[in-house]
Amino acid sequence: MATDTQFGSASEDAIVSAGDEGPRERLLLWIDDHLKWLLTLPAVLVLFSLTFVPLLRALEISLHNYIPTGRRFVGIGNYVDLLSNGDFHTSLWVTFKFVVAAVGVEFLLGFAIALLLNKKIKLRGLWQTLILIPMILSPTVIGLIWRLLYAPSGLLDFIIGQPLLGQNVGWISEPQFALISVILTDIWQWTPLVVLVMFAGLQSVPDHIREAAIMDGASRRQRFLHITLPYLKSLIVLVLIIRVVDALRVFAKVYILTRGGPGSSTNVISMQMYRVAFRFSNYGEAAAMAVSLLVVVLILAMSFVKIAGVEF
Amino acid sequence: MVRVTYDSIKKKYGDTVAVEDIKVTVDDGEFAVLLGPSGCGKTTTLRCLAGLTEPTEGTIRLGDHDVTDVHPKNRNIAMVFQQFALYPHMNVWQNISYPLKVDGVDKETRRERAREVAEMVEIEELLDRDVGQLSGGQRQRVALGRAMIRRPAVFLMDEPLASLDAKLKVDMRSRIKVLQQDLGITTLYVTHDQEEAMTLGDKLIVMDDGNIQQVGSPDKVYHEPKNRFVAGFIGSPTMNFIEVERDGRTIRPVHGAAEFAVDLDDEVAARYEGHDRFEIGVRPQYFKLHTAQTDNAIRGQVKVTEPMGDEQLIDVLVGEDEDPLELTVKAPSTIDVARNDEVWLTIQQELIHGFDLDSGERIAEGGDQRQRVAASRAEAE
Ligand SMILES: Nc1ncnc2c1ncn2[C@@H]1O[C@H](COP(=O)(O)OP(=O)(O)O)[C@@H](O)[C@H]1O
Ligand SMILES: [Mg+2]
Repeated sequence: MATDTQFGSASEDAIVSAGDEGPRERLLLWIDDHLKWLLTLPAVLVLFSLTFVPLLRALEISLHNYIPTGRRFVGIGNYVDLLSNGDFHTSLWVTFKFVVAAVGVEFLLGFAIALLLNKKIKLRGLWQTLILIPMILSPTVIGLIWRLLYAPSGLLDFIIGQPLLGQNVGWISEPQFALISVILTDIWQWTPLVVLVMFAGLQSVPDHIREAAIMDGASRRQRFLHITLPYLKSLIVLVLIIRVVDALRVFAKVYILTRGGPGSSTNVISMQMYRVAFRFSNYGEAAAMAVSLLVVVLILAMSFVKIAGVEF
Repeated sequence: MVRVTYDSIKKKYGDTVAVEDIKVTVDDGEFAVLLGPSGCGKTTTLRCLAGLTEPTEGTIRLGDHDVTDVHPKNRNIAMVFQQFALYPHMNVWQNISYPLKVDGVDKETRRERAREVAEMVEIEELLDRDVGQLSGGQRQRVALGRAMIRRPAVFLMDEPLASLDAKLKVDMRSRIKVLQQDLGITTLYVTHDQEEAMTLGDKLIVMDDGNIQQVGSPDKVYHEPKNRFVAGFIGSPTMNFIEVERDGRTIRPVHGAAEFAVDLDDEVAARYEGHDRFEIGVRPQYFKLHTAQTDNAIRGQVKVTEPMGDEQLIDVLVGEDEDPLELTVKAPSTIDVARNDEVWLTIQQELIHGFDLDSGERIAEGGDQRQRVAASRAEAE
């Protein structure tokens, strides 16, 4: 306090050095000091209750077994059971295939389209708008649109199945095609996001850096590899994290297109959770899966950032 | 190391004419400075040579080769950008040696060459730093090093010092000059700072409004400006311009200020035979300031004084009416005057310039202006 008053203006001195100010002044001072916290408190509370409370609740549920007469504490029993649960393992494998294929194609395709858009093509604005449409539709709507497209004797059978194979493909009814069809739908929906992010990134590469590389004698390919890619590294990591995390949680699309079937061919992990929780009422096991998924997502995201050496 | 020729280069952006008609030759090993106000087309001129901008008309030659349609990377030209344009994800030595990397030079050699170049620009201790950690001056050196490493035929620099602080500027300026002389590489350097241009260039190319106004050595451009624009742009503080009428040997301002009536010496008056009305240009240091009335002097009143160490700048108002002439005068700081003091000004007549009112061209004085400066200096002492 002594050092504060030394540099303070006369009026500040008066407030701070008056050791015997009344409770009203003390309250005002306290509010003044803590106003920033008070103002953000409501938002913090809402966010906290929307994220941490359900999380803690899930954690709690995952430590119990639910039986018709109530619930029983089983510790990590549910987690131990998951280790030997074949359905769970299958759903992990399905999810893995889904994520790798969908995000892989989305990224490569999206980046390629962004590179095309970045050239001075005609009607760029129009293309940009058209390309973004799938992204703004809700997953449920997308699921319904594609269910119609995939339906036996639907549009896709009409233009592909029947002319080429002479029969319906069974896009979502045949186990060997169902996952691919779900993946295709995801690609259709999310490639635009990659386009959007990568296009913005490409536009942000400063002209003078690009031109410096030209003057330094770099070929088009060298400029892409040595300048553009490293420049976009953190954006690439960002878009991959967003897509991987989101793809790991895919639900609405699968639910509407296939309900996880046929068999377990499209039974991704969140579909499996849904089945376990709401068909078999095994809330404890479902919650244990959810918590495990969260841990996996966290580890993946952190290692992405680590591997890429990116700081956000 | 090569001669550069611009042959009637024109560049239009839509309806905007960035560069109208550039014709100039820069000799092998010469340090040419493109000087002119912002927006006059300096950068465009430079980029046409780099190959980053395609001229609308005209040809550019390196030596005897027409390179107008040659890709930038095949011109063997290096460029330093105003924004430094360092590669943010590479460290210092990787930045400097990037031109070698694209050429397929192996890593050992690249590092070695980067070290040699870094020594020349005195940043050898920074080789392994990230460029993000460098100061402005250090970044500029990295950019210089990167331009030098390939030993290009031509160096282009677009306002490379514009974003550095004043002291660093002067320091880097002399370093660039020494490097250029040591390497003997033909250099085109863009700046809007006339002081920088005067100190650096072998040859000044003064531009305005998309055209070259004058090409010449710094001395020539300063002492024998081709026209009013060059006279006003070169020199700091700027030349005083006064529109005058000549009546026999006496000149008087066209607008007001009856106190300003100067009898010209016979020799000086002879120059302006045939010009009854023209504009005279007097640099601030070619006035002489007196505190007492003298022969053929202009009476005025001190408006403000700006001390500058050994010298001072004095704004003098001539004429008492509402629209007085305002003249800037440079005088030794030993003269002690203050606001509103009465002073008398004489002109070193042999050093003034006359400009044609219509064309803005300088009315030739005949003889060598520099000798006149020397003579009048000797006389003063
Ligand atoms: N890419 C461009 N598109 C449109 N106009 C341009 C472009 N580059 C330069 N110009 C115009 O050309 C003129 C000369 O610009 P520039 O060569 O950058 O001048 P300087 O470098 O002397 O400041 C300016 O009027 C500028 O607005
Ligand atoms: Mg410029």
